[in-house]
Amino acid sequence: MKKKEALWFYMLVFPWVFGFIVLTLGPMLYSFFLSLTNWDLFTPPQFIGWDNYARLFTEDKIFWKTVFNTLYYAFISVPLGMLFSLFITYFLNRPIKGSAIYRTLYYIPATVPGVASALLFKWLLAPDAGMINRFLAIFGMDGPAWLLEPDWVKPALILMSLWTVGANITLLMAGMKSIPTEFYEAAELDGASPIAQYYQITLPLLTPVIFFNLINGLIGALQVFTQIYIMTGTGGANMGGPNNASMMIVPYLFNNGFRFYKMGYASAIAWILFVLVMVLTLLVFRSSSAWVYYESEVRKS
Amino acid sequence: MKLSKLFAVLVVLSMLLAACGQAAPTTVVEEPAATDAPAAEVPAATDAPVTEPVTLTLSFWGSDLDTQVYQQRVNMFMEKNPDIKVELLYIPSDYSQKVQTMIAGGTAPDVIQLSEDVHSYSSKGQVISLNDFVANDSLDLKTRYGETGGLTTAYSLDGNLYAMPDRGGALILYYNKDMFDAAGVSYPTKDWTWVEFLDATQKLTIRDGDTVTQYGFAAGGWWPWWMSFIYMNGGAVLDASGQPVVNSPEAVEAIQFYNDLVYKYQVAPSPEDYANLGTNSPDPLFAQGKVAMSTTGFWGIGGLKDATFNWDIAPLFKNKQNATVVFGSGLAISKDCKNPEAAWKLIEFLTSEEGQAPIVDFKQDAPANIANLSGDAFLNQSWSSKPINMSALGDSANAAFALPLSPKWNEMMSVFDTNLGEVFANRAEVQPTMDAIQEQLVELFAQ
Repeated sequence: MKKKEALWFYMLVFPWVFGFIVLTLGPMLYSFFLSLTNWDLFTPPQFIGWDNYARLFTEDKIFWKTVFNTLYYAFISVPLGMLFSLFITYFLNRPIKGSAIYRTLYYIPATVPGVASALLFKWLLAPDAGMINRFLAIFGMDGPAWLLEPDWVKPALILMSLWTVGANITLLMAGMKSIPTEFYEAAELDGASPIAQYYQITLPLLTPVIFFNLINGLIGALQVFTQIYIMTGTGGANMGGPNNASMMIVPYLFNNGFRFYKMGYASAIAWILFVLVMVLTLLVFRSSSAWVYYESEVRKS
Repeated sequence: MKLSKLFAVLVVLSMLLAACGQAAPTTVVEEPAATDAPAAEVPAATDAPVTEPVTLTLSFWGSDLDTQVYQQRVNMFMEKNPDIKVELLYIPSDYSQKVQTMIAGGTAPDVIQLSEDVHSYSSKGQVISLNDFVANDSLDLKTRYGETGGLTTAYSLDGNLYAMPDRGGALILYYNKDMFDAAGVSYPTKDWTWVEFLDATQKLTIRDGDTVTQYGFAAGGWWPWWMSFIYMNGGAVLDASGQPVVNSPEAVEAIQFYNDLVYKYQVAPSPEDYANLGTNSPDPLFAQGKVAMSTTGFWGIGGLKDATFNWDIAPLFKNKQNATVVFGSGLAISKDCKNPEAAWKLIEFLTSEEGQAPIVDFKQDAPANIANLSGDAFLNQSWSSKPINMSALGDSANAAFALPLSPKWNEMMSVFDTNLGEVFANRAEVQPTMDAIQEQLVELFAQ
């Protein structure tokens, strides 16, 4: 019996393991080799040791700007998006008339292709003619030029990221539905207020979903590309403007690899990004024992 | 069980690593072989053309119209050369990435359409020098492309020509005749200096309170727009030896004037104005009748077919000298091409007067061959109910400056875009910005 089960296990994981080794691990290891070379896509790669890394860490000012921009974007957009989605989920889960319609409406943006929503937001964020600044003008506020100003381009991108929290909401809703109603009934008998119920029951039991959203959101935000590519050009083909204020790690990698023919250098950037993602994900994982609760778990307090 | 699986995984992994390890050495070995191969195979190919037809691939970008025209031209070639078969490889998007991938994968197209990034390929030995072919055919490039040689200078590196100019056409001035008539301004000519140009833009700009309802001129951050002003003023991006000279007084003065049109004289839209108008480009603004003058290439004509106003084109004006950008694309031969002789035969035909004719007949583009560019078929092209001054394109040919195409063109443009973007947004002064660009370019070229 046990042997048969084991066989099934290997058979079922085989496609993934095979795909991972052939399609992911192989290219990954090769890219590490490339990161130690000066490969220009055409001529054979020449081994140059750690030169690419040394250059990135000591000479390349734009690279550090992209690291800062990416962390700025990730550290604000991810927590903000999580708060926002928790807030909306709470109301969508109330027994209001037509809640199904609202749920659909909140999910639709998540299904719109990234390029389309990027173009849409480019118009919404236009300095005077854009709907966002026109809305602010109603309250007598003179909105910034958003994508055209170095100080405002990142907030603009963060604002846009809030539009696609639909996927998070779906997961949170599922999590909320799975909380047994007995908990709330018991709490109600004990006289707990709705607010206390939310903080004592709903939120703790949602932490596994929040944890998942956090990790996924963090990885996604660190790899942001489409919005930058579509929205931050300065009239030419360049992206990441103005003055590299919205240049992030992946667009910079793309520029170096495919526009400047520096594949080795781009590979080194990819590996630094990989390490950055790993470290941040590990930190979140490490912290999870302090704040993520599983229903079946029994804890000493 | 566990151990055996682990073993299997390790085997797969080591195989993979071996494959990766092999990849690099084989390309190294292929390198000298590839340069020997054509020499060895060419005589074979010419010896036995009848028995085994040669197949060539030609990669190009563009639209359905472009596909149609290339097909027509290639068919003409194949009719004359039954022993050579040409297959078109249409790459509608991400052209350079795809061509690079094909080259890296050893399946490079034989003939490659290239434009400003030609030296990214030539400097890395991916396309071959055409000098010997040109010499063998005793082809006079001046007869083919005009006195300045058209784009042949730009497409050459260290004395070697790497691409034959195929499609061309200069940056030309489009103007709205109705607006000129209403403002009582005489039509632009190539003898206008910046003084007359500025005077005209001021008369042609109409304001409603603070808002501009009609701009005298419109340009922006795209390199041909500002670069032509630098050359008009006697400046340059790179000097004759290929070194950057971006912060010369001429260049600084030119960018200052260019930016003053937007912020000092307020006769041209700023980046913010563009964002509000929902576009990055002056072309749609001109077509909508919001702009009196704009500069763009030949392709702007097609967009004005249905314009309800009267318009025409003229060669670009001047300051210290006439200067304009010649756009276009050329045809190059891949180093992996097995029949460079046949490929050259194809390129020679496509750039000849006969081979260029469909470009004109289909109204696809401006032809690079000067005979076609100044031929009646092109000059009498009808685009609207009224005749258009098609000779503006041919007249511009002599004012074309040699584009500062370098192997690091894309990186160079990135430096310009990043820094000039701040000037064009009115957040930075011209002189320190041009000094910064100069410094960054010197550093870039030293790498």
